[in-house]
Amino acid sequence: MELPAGDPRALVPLSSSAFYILLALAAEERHGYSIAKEVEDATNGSVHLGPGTLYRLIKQMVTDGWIVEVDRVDSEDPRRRYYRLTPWGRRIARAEAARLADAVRTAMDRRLLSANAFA
Amino acid sequence: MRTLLRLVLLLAPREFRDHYGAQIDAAADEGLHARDLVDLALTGIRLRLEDFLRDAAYALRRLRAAPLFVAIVVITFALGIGANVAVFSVLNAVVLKPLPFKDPNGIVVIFDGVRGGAKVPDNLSLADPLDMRSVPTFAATTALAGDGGTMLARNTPFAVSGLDVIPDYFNILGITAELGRVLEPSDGDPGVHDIVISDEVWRSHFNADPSVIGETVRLNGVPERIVGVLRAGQPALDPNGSLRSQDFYAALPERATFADREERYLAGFARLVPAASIASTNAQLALLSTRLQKLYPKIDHDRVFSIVPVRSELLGSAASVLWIIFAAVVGILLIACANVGNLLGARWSTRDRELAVRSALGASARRIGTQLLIEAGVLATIGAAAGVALAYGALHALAGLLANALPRASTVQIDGASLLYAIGAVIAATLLAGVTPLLSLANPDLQSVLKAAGRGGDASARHRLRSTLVVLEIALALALVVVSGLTVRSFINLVSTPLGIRPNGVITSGLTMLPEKNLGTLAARAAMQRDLLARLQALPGVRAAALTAQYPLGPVSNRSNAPVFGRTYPIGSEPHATANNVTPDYFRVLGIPLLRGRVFDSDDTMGSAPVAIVNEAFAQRYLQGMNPIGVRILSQGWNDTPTNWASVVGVVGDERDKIAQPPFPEFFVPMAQGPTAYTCALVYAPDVDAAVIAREMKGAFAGALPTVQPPGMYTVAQLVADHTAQERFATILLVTLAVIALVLALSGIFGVVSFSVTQRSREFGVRIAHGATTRNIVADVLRRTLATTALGAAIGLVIAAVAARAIASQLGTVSPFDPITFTTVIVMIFLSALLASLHPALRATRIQPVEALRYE
Repeated sequence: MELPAGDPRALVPLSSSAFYILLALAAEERHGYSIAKEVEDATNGSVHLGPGTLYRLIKQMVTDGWIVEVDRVDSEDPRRRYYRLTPWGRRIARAEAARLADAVRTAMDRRLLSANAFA
Repeated sequence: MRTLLRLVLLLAPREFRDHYGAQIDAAADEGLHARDLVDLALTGIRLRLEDFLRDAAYALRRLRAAPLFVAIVVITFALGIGANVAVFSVLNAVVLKPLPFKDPNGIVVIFDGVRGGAKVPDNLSLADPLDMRSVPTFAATTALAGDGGTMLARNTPFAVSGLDVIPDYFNILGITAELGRVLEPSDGDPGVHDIVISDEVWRSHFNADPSVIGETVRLNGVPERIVGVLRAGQPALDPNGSLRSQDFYAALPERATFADREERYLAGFARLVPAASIASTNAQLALLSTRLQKLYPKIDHDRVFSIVPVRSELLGSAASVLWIIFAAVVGILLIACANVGNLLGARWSTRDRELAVRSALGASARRIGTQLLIEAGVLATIGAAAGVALAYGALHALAGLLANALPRASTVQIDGASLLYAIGAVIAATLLAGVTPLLSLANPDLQSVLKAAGRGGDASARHRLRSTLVVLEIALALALVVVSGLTVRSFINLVSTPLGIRPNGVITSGLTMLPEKNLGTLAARAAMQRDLLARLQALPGVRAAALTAQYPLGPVSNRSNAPVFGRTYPIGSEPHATANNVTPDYFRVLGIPLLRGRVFDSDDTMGSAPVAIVNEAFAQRYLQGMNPIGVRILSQGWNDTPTNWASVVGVVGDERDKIAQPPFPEFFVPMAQGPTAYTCALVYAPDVDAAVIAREMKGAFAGALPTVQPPGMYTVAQLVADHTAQERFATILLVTLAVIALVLALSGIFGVVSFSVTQRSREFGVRIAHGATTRNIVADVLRRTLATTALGAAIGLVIAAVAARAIASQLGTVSPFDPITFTTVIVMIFLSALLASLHPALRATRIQPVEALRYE
């Protein structure tokens, strides 16, 4: 099935690292290190983003317009750069989340996952 | 840790570093793990690779739009890199790889360095290597002689080649047995007939049967017991340096009698003790030589032993030839790179505007430079792939030529080292071809290019750079053509050397050992020879046939002292000559003229007075001022033939036994008076196809000697070709390379002149509008070509002179500064340079003034 251009579903599935970065930026803008930290916390330490992987993905996302660099005067460390999700980036994150939710529903139907897993 | 981080960051592209380096640095304040460094390093490499692949894809896309350009560059690179890979593969296999023996650097060849200052190999007596065991820097010594003949095993006769060796041979070379054992000193004891055979013979004639150990076979009729099978793939060291593995080995005795001292026929080798030097060993050998001279003044008065490393002896001449050819192909690669450099320069300069635009859009000069280099690299890689295929094909096509010309040529192949070399060549070619045009792009600030381009303002600096490359091309091509010209002249000299024998219509057999070597009487040998000769004479188309103990240009050269009766000689100056035993028609078969007296006839028999014939060189050197006819000379027996004072009955013309050396004094005795155990057949059959007569000769051998495998047959032309194989190989290769170099250089001239005419079309247009004639314009273009060529030729002459001096030893009698070669090449270079620029020059005259102004 050919998806129309501009449909974020054409871009999913994302790599898990990319998705976690988008998740980390969904709530607030963050600098690079804080993204990595947030991902590590949110996954109880099971996902570790090394600096190379992190900034390579950031660079790619900036180039593709998923996130933007923002100027923050209040930054305590001038070396830090902050990133914010663009509306386009948000749509992509939603598409990926929807895809994952579908997968989870299927897993429940097939009894791979208990229906009250989220209770 | 911080320093490590910065180092790891260097792996990443600069863009990434500039943008994220500070952030990564800041993040490291919170703690840094080893896995983070690994992650960073892998990311850096990944980003670089992605950039590279993107640039390569971009380059490929752009190149697809210029198929003609790509074809020319790829062909140029394919020739340059292909020639390099092919020659490197040969050089590597023949010269660079260590000899296939255990610790080959410790192995030396022993010479008896006397007579005429030339080192004489294969000239040791059995006593010599045994005496040399007293030299403390020798760990072991051995000597060997070629053997061979017919082996009769399991009721099947087959031809075999072998070596008789002093058993330390196996220790010295580190050769081991896979079955049974290698030979031991006791195998040389009287009455012991033990041999070892090669893995190959074991498989082909004994079905790889392990019970072969202890089995008795017959070698030329003599029973021999097989005590071992040698491990496969172990080469032999033989007197000819071919490294060809042998079918069998037999032991020489470890004790020498006084009589053994007189027979010098062995090639000597030794292993030095660790850390022993050649010089100190030679000093020891000099002492030994002096001692032997005193102990055995009659026999050993001329002994001067010396050693050289086996490597330089076996590979020396091949190594110098291959290094010359290697230098030539490196020159070709340089020319190819200069050519491509100019083509790339022309191509990129027409993209000035595009590059300027991209630069204005923020692409760094470095990035653009990288992209252009990658374009060059992509071209070099495609060229190299084609070149490796070309090299593979060339090595296959040349395999026959190589096999005769070079030792261990059979090991030549395109292997890992060749491919590594090809990769190196790609990198070198990319940088060499890409950097010069880049330099010319890099300096003018692109802003001004943006304005100036398209108005035909040929940046003169750029033109100069391009001309410089052409000057270099012309210089290198000239040097290469000179070197190949000198080689051709020396080769022509070599092959046109009169050998003193008929070059056409003569077929000779290889050496055959008559059966029952140790049992047969001289009378039995003579009877077998008469039968064989009669059969040969009866063959259709044979005008004359003869038997001889050694065939012309053959491997054996039996030399002995032949003093004249009644004369005394100072020690060391007795007549020394090649001795040959022949049937009467030998001279007729080979077309050797009779100068005085008579040749042998059927009355010269065992019962009649001993007679001899000497050649002109013998008469001139040893019988000066006297009538040679009637002089008696000592004919020393060999192969159990009698020693006689023989009267000279005739003088014949000289024949050469080595092409590059002047004829050696020689004397002949009738085969009937000295029937040797080794025999070769010669026939003169000019009207019959050589293959047909060879087959019939084999038939004659089979008829006369049914238990002996008939020997190989050769035409004299083949023997000459074999003797000159190395020179032929070098000549063919250098001429081919010179042609490639010349074509590349000319296409370089053509390209540069064409480009410059295009660039100057406005100028020409204006000048034509102002009344310039065709002559003026053509003269202008050609004048520039001449100036460039003259400069290139001047530099080329210097390079050629240096190169010619370096190869002087390979040129024989041709002077390295041979004026004919130099003059011819210079004239040729100028004429072809003018020819290459004629077409663009004429194009310049056809420029329409109006169009030129409208152009662009």
